Amino acid sequence: MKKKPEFVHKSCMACRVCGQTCPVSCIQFEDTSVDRYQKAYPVLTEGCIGCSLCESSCFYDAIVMEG
Amino acid sequence: MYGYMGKVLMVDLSSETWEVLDIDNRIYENYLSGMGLATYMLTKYIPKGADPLGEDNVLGLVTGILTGTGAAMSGRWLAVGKSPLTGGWGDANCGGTFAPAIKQCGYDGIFVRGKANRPVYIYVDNKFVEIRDAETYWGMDAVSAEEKLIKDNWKKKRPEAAVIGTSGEKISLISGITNDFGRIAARSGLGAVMGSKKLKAVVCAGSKPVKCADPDGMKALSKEYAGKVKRFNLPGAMGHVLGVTGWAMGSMKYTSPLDGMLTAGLLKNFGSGLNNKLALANGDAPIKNWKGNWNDYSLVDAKNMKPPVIYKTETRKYHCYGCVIGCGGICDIKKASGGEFTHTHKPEYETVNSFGALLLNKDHESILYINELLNRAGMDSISAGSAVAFAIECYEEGILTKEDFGGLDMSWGNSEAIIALVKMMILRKGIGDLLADGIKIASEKIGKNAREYAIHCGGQEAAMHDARLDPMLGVHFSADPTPGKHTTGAMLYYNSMFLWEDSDWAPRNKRRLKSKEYLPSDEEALKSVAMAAYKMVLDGAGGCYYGMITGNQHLRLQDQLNCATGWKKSLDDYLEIGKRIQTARQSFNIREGIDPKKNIMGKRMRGVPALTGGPLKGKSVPIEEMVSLHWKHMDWHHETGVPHQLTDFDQVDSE
Repeated sequence: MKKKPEFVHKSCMACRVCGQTCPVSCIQFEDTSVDRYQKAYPVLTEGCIGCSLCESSCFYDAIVMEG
Repeated sequence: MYGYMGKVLMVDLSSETWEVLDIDNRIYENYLSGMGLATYMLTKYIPKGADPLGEDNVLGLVTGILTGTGAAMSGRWLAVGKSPLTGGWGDANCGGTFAPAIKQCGYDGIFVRGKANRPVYIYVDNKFVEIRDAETYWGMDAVSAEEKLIKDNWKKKRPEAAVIGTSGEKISLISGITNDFGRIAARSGLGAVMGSKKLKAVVCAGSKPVKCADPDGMKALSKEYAGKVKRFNLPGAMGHVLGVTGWAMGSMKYTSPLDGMLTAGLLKNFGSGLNNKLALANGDAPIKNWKGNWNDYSLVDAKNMKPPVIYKTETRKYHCYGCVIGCGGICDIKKASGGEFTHTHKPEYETVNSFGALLLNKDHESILYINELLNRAGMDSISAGSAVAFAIECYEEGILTKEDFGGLDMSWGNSEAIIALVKMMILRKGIGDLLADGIKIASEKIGKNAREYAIHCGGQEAAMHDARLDPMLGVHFSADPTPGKHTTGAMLYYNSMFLWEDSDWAPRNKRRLKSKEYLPSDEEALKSVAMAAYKMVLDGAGGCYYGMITGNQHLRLQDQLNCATGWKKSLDDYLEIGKRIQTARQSFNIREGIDPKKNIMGKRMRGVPALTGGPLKGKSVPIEEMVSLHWKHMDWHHETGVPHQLTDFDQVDSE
């Protein structure tokens, strides 16, 4: 089974680097429930190929491949 | 090759051909990428005397060295070209997600020359470059066109697009280039350059990686910076007291260095809108076409401009690529627009003031609506607001009449008339056609004594910050090769940047009397030179100016660049590069016949006559002496502003 990214909100900076790195654009910034600023944090949508490029692009250790 | 791609794409729309140009490493080492790379390309490929709206002008979309390397605050891109507004060097900066998309196609910049014989757009991905028909998109506003272009070109990876709106298509000289559905690289009239080439958009769909020489080092830098930003929070209720804070700032007799990380807390809450009421309270915000004060527009009049009120309908915040602060936001404007639009990007401070205090407009909902009108048209809100202010003053003085405005009552603060005039400018109808080319040209065409009310620097409308509060700002309004921009430098920024901690020559700022800032001196000039040089490095890096304001002691720009490239340069090495970039931009202007003295801000902006009320009462700025000293320390002639050694890229190429 393919591993898929899990987002660690405590570390995430909502900087959109993972979203721009994803080769199939399956990371969207839509979750506004994480902090008091209503910042849009990443969510995984359909189509993930489990390539882990998002994990390696994240400098804040906010993505863990799970599954 | 680390940090940069080493190549640019040059597209010729006249011949419908394109080529990939390799850029010598020496260009990057001596001029960086972004703004520096642009000085090389524009000087080399634009023939002297080229018509800004002709085939020979070259439009560039460039990124910086740090973009894509994991560096914090590195997602900016620049549009560059010969400006039809000023006749000289033109640049405009924007964030969002377009910057990495250029690099992911394998290029540090995409340059376009020639003119298409029909509307086209350029499509670029990892392998292909295509000039495609854009008839379908021509005539669409920038937001709708971008949505359709992305949908039509989305295969695996979602593409990004830089687009012009209808103002660019109609060659409005105050139009810009948009991305991310309404963010805009607004200044210098480069949307008109794109429109003149019949180029609706550039779509980037690449996925190439950007190499970083020391990813572990970069990761450590980014984490440390992000950690500081994350820890620094201020209560949202702070938005209600920013006016008082500004008043206190304005009243203090002293100025002193301040840790810029304070601004990160405010930016996270409010974005640039933190300044909306604060700037009115401390005197930073120009009122009534730069001639007014609190007697014309009081802090009570501005009660709806404070962030918690004007951004009351904000539904979410967002970050640009690589940003860890997140100053962007989306506001619901169904009510403000009467159902015409659902949402808009949170209006920036510049937009709020240019359509608020500058026009004595108290109706904050009208500003939200105008913001979306302008974003979709792709028109610069600073220039557009300034054009409306100019028009109102001409109306007040009897130079223009109600009939000239198609029956509109153009009294100060009449928000309905302001909206109507903005629409006329977007459509280029009636008097709007004249104003859509900026106030310098409009005032020349109107004649009489209209020039007295046209507040600009070298043809470009000045940004919404007052040099009578911060004289260094006036130096950069006047001396930057793109005049009228507020982002090149100000004492407020310098105070927070702590360059003196890593530079041997950038003067330390100490606690001192504000009145001393009005005294031109070699030390003050060295500060403005250090400021401009740093900003050029930032623009060569793809960095964000809010990152700069948080302070270089936190951002560590020189370390970021060294990690990206593998170089071992000091901050002073980079500042030298920054000066070199600035000199190359000035050399471009000299070649194009620009007289730097004519870019110096006019009497009203420098406080002649002085204001009679408010925090700037009685203040004036000895701008000519200050600019002269700035030129001297830039190694430019102190009386003419001409660099002692003009940049010669032919020589650089032949070495």
